[in-house]
Amino acid sequence: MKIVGVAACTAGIAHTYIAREKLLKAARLRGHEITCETQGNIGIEDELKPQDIRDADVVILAIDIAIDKMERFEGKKVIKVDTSTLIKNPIGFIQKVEKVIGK
Amino acid sequence: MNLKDVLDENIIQIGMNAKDKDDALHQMAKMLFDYKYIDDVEGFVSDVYLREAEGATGIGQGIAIPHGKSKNAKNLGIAIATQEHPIEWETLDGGKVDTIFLFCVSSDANFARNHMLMLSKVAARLADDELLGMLHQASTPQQMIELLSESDDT
Repeated sequence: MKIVGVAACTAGIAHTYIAREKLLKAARLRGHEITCETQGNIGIEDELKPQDIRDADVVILAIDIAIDKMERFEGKKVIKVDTSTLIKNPIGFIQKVEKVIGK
Repeated sequence: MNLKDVLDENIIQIGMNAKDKDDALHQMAKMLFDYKYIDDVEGFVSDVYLREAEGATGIGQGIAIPHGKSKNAKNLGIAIATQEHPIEWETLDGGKVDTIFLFCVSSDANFARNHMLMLSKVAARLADDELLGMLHQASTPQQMIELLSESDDT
């Protein structure tokens, strides 16, 4: 499936970026296409492209805080997870997403 | 700018002998103080504890990433220490910690943005399980820097 993600933790210094990497690795390992932006202390990096959001089967929000630009995901299937859960078991999380989305 | 620009061997200690988490944070903050990354040890450590209160900074495999956004931070950097003996820490996998990355970041979000970006890239490297396994074996600060700054394939 096609996935777009956003990672954001409370301080926006470390967990945000670890979560992004874990999410990218796990999703690719399971054979999915993914892009993921970060919203951290330094603002948005690797910002999602509108086309990728349109094409995505699911939006994964690995976030511990409210994020900016949520309106981009209106009408999309959104799955939320906290960064700790994702960092702890990224493959397990992706497998759950597969079940929910059915792809 | 690359990762080596934000990794400083002066604030890396291999074989620290802290008796517990509090001792480890203080010893590492002292390193940051000695090399002018922070201007007050207690002030900085209390900001680190503010973040600790929000959730576990032990990310598993013996690695912890405490971090303080502090007005006492005058330079951005990462103090790194490997422990002789693992110590108790709040961790995602319930294990102890023997390798600690203490991120030193200014509370001013606009301060040294390029450096902040590099710190985020070091954090991203810590998502690599294979690398984490190797970090435990670093025997010199230089070796630690080499391992962390090797190009990642993602």
